[in-house]
Amino acid sequence: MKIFFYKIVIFFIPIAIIFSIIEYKLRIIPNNYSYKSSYLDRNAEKIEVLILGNSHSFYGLNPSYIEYSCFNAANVSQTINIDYFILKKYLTKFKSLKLVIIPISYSSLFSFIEEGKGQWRIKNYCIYYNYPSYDVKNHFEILNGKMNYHINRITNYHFQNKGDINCSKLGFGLDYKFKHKLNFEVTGKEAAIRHTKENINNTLIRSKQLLRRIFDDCSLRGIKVVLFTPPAHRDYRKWIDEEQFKLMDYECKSLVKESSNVYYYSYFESDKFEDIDFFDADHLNHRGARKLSVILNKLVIKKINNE
Amino acid sequence: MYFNSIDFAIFLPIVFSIYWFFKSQYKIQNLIIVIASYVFYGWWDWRFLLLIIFSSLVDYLVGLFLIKEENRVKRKLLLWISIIVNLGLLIFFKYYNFFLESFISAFAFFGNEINPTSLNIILPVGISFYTFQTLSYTIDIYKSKIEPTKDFIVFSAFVSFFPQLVAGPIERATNLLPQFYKRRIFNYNKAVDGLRQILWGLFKKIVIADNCAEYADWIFSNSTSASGSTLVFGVIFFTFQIYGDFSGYSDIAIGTSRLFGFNLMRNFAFPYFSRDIAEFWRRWHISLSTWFRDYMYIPMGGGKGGVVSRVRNTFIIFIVSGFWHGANWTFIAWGLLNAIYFLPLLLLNKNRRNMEVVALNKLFPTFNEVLKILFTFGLTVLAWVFFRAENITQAIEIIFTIFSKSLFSVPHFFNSGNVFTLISLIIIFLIIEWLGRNSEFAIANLGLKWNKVFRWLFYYSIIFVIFYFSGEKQEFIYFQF
Repeated sequence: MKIFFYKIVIFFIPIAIIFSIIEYKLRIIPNNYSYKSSYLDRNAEKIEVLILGNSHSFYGLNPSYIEYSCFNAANVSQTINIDYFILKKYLTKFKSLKLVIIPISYSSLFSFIEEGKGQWRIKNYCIYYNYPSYDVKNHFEILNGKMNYHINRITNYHFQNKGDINCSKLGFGLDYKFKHKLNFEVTGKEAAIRHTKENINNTLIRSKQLLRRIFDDCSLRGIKVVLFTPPAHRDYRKWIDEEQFKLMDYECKSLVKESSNVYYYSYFESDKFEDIDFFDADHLNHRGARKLSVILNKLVIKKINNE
Repeated sequence: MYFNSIDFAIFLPIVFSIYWFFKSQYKIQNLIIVIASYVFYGWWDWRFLLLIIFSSLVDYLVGLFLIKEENRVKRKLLLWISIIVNLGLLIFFKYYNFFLESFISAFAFFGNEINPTSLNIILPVGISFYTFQTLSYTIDIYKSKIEPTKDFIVFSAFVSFFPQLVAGPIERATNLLPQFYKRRIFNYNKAVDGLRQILWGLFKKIVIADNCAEYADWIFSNSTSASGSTLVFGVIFFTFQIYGDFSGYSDIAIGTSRLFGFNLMRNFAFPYFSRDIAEFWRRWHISLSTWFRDYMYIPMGGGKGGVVSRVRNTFIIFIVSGFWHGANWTFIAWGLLNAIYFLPLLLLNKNRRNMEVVALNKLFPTFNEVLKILFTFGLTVLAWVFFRAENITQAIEIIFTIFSKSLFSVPHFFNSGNVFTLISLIIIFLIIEWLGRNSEFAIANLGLKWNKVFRWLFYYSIIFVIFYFSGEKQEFIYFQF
C-alpha cells in the first residue's frame, strides 16, 4: 500500500510541476479581464459612467464618445449576476459614479453564464476578480479549454509578445470591424436559435431579483441606471421567438416603473442602424458602436443633469 | 459527477484513501462505499437519491420476504411487486412523455385531437442501469440462485456502487454481492492494472469520443445540406464516438472498481473486430446483452423451439433492447435492424461460429477475416444511423443521401486540417486495440515487460495526448439511458 502511494506521488510530481508552470505562464498573459480588473482597482474613484453587460455593450458602446469619465466593464457572455458582482465589489470605491448602463439583450433575462456555452469564462472572474465559486475548475486557467489552445497562448505571448487584450484603454472591444463582417443570414439564424431559451421562468425570476438589487444599491447612492436593448439586424430578428422577446420587453418596462432612478430604451428594431453598422447579425461594428454611443451619450447627459 | 471531471479527480483519491485506511474492516468499507456512492450520485441532483433509496428498500424487503415465503403464488406476487415498482419508476421517468406523444399522434391520425398534460420530467441519471441490476437480484432470489442479503448496507452498496452506478456494467448479484462480504486485501498489481484501465478509458472518452462527437454532431445537425461522403464520415465518426464514449466509461468503471478491490464483469471486447453480427453482440455492451439473454430470451424459450418462436424471440429481444436505450422510435428501428441482421445467422445455426478472438495468436488477419470484419462494421455503421438520428425520417434521408451520387464528392470538412489529425488518432487507436485484442483491455499487457522508464514514458505520452488532443467536453452518451 505504501509503495503504491509512494509511486503514485512520484509519478504525478512531474505532471504537477508541468501543470503549475503552464498555469503560471497562462496567468501572466495580459487579458481583458486582468486589464479591466486592475483598471477598476486603480480608477474606480474617478469613473462617472460605468458600462456593464455582455458582448453587445463590449463591442457596442465606446466610452470615448461619452462626455463623462466612462469605462466599459462589459465582457463577452457576461450575464447579470456577474454585472451585479462587479458593481457590488467596487460600489464603495465608485465615489464619482453617476450612471450605470446595462444592456438587456433578447436573452439577457433568461440565461446565466454558468449555464451556457460560455461557462468556461467564469474562471476569468474567479481568477482576476475573485468571483466566488465552489467549482475547483473555475480557479484554474489550465482546466478550461484545450491544451493546444493554452500552448498557443503561451507561445504567442512569450515568443511574439501577443497578449490577449483586445479592448481599448477604456474597455471597448476592438475586434469587430466592418471589413471583417460575417454573413448576416448565417450568424442571425445561429445566434437567434442559441439565444432562444426553454424553461425561462426560473432564470427570469433570478434575473429580476438581481436587477432589483442593482437598482436599490444604485438608488441608495444616487446613481442612475440606464437599461437598453441593443440594435439587432433583421436577419437576427426574423428568427427570434416573439413570446420571449415580448416577455423581455414587458419585464424591462415593468421594472422601470418600480424604480425612479431607472430608465429603459430599446433599439432592437431601430431604423437608425443599417447593414453597414453591423459586424454580424446581433453585434455592431465600430461604426455602429459609434452611432449607438453617441445616442446614449445624449441620454446620459440628460439623465445626469435631470433634464 | 462525471468521470472526466475535476470533481471526480478530487473525489476518487479522497474516497480511496479513507477506504483503505479501514483495510481490515470490510463493514466500515461497505458503509464508506454507500456514502461515497450517494455523494457521487447526488452530485447531479440530490433528489435522485430518494429514488435510488426507495428502489433499494423495496428490493431489499422483497428479497427478505421471498426467502421466508414458500407459497408459490405469494412468491410470484412478491416478484411482481419488485418488477412493477422498478419498471413502473423506469416507465414513468423515461417513457411517460413518449407514450403520451405516441397516443396523441395515433389519435390525430384517426382524426381525433386530444390534449392530455405532458409532464416536465427530469430523467434520473442511470435509472435504466440500476433498475436492471436490482431486478436481477429479486429474479435470482425468486429462482433460488442466490440467498438474499440481510445487511441493508451491503445491499445499498450493491445497488449504488459508484463506479458502475450510472452507466454499468450492469452487475449481477451473483457476481458483485458476495464481494461485499469478503475482506478486501489491497493488491498492488490489481490497483496498478486498474489505473492503467482508467487511463485507457480516459483516452477513449476524451480523445476519441469527444473529438469524433464534434464532427458527428455538426454533420447530423446539418444532414439536409451534407453530401453523401460527408454523411459517411459523420456516421463513422459517430460509430467511434459511441464506442469510445461507452467502452471508455466502462474501462474507467472497471478500473476504479479494481482500485477498491472489486472485479466487475467485462462490458466490451473489441466489438468492431467482429466477423459477424452475432459475434458483435457478444462483444458489445456484454452486461446488457447477457441480461436480456438470461432474464428474457432464455425464459421465453431462446433459440429453441420452432422457427416461428425463434424469430419472435429474437425480434422481441432486439426491439426491447432498442427501447431500453431511449424513448424514441429511432431506437426501436435500430433494434429491429439488428434483429434482421442477426436472424439469418440464428436460423442457419451460424450464430456461434466466431467464438474466439479474431486472428488468435497471429499479428495479421487473413483476407477473408478482413472482409468479414469490414462487412460487419458496415452493417453496424448503418444501424448507428438510426441510433443517432433525431427521428426515422432523418435516418432514412441520411441513408438515401449516402447511397447517392454525392457519395463520390469530396467531404465537406476535408479542408480542415483537424479532421486528418482525428483520423490519424483513430488509426493509432485501432492499431493499439488490435494489438491488445487478446487482453481484457487494449493496454492491459502493453509495456508490462518494458523497462520502467519506457513504461512510464508510455503512460506520460498517453496523458499528454489526452490533454493535448482533448475534444470539446461532451456528456457520456449512455447517461441519458
